[in-house]
Amino acid sequence: MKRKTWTWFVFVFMAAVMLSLCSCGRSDDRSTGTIELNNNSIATIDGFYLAPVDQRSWGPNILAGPLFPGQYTSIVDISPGLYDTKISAAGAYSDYFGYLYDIPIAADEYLPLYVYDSSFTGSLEIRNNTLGASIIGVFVVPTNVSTWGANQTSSAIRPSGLLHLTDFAPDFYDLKIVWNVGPDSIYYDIRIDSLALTTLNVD
Amino acid sequence: MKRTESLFYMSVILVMMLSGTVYGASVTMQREAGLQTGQESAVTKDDVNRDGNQLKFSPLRLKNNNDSGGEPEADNRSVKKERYKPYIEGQGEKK
Repeated sequence: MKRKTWTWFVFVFMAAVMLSLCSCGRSDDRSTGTIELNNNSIATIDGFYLAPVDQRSWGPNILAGPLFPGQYTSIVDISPGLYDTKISAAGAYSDYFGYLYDIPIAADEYLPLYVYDSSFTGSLEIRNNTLGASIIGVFVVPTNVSTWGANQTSSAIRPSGLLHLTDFAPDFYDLKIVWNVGPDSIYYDIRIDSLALTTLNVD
Repeated sequence: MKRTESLFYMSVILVMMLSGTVYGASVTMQREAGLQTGQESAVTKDDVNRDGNQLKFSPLRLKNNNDSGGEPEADNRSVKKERYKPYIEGQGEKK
């Protein structure tokens, strides 16, 4: 009887040792970082993307739900490293984005990130108000540059059609519209602001 | 003298017509609700990540990472939604 009790005692002791060893292992896993995302803007943030700096894609949205103006949320269990982040917000007129690059996240760090109105990009809408001409080229570049850059439209914009471009850094832009007939139209100093949609009616 | 003057003005008008430059476009801006018109403008590149000790987001896109969900595309044939292709120095025709 005494022997049986002793065997039980050893068994329970061994189990306790194994459990404590397991928990030690877990405590190593816990040396991760935390991001606190503070929404100090008027926009509702509906996406937060976190990618290691050497990753070519943003990966999935890791926000569980929308983050309303004035709210904050914590993103936990982030492995230490260097990260790029992106936020997105769907407004009444367009979608807007904000970026933050090369954020170092250390083990056990609690890192607050802040979003303001000026953190977001702006958008541009080009409306073809003609009755019979199609737009075959749209070139939009900051005013201070010397060339027209890439064509922003992948296909022709028909009469009464429109092109909605997102993700502009707030600035003044020059714009060239190339028609399938007639001379090009050039517009100078078009202003694009954060959290705003600029609409240009062309004909 | 008068003839030279009129020739000069005619040539100016001709140049303007040929260049296709339009000066009076119909432009409107719609701000998201509650946004003040006198808001601060774009941040400079130096401010991209740090303003004092605060890490804040910026509207400057410095990398072209792909989105997992793809580009948002509208169904309507007459409405096209695309993401702006940022300017690359020297790219495209001369202005």
